[in-house]
Amino acid sequence: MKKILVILLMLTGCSTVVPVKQSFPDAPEELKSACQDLKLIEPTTKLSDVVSVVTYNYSLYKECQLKNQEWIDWYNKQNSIFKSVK
Amino acid sequence: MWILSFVPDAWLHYAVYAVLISGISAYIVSFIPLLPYRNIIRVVGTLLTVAGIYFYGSYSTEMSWRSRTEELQKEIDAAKVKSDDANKQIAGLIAQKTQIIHDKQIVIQKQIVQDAAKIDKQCVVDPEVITILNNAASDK
Repeated sequence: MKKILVILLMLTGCSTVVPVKQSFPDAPEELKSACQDLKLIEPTTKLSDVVSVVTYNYSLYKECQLKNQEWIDWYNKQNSIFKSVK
Repeated sequence: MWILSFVPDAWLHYAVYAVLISGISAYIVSFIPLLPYRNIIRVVGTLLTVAGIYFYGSYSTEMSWRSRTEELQKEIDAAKVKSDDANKQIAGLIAQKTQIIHDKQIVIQKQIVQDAAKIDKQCVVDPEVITILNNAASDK
């Protein structure tokens, strides 16, 4: 037991504590929300109603695509900044 | 050794030099003729000098680590500022592009309302089309 304590003390002498911690940044709130579900079409015979919903869904896709692209950009930028600290 | 990280630089500096100087002094003093306990003083002086040199080495290592830590902390702080700027830039870009998408959608919806009569004039949508489109749009 005494030997173990002596070894532990000696090993403690070899350790070096560097009190610096780098954490990966948090993403902006705008990126954290999920993409919306596509809108469904109410029963109708009018083509204009159908087109209206379809084009609205296009805009939802565009928003989702934008968010996805910004996630990629955000990760690449933050990763490069994170790795620049050596 | 980790306890050393809590001790201020100046204290360590003084302690190391105090041990080293007292060791060398004791060693030199031990050569004074007719001094009582000369041998013991010489041994103690030698031991203190060796310990002082050892502490000096440890002190230099400790200081180099502290300097590296300080340097690293500065780099991390600079990276944090860059990262915050990048986040603000991305948030601004998302808001701007989302607004463009919304504005475009408003224009398109107005256009559909405007041309509704023309669009609906020649075509009646079969209910099956609605089912197919809704099936494609939903997760079911």
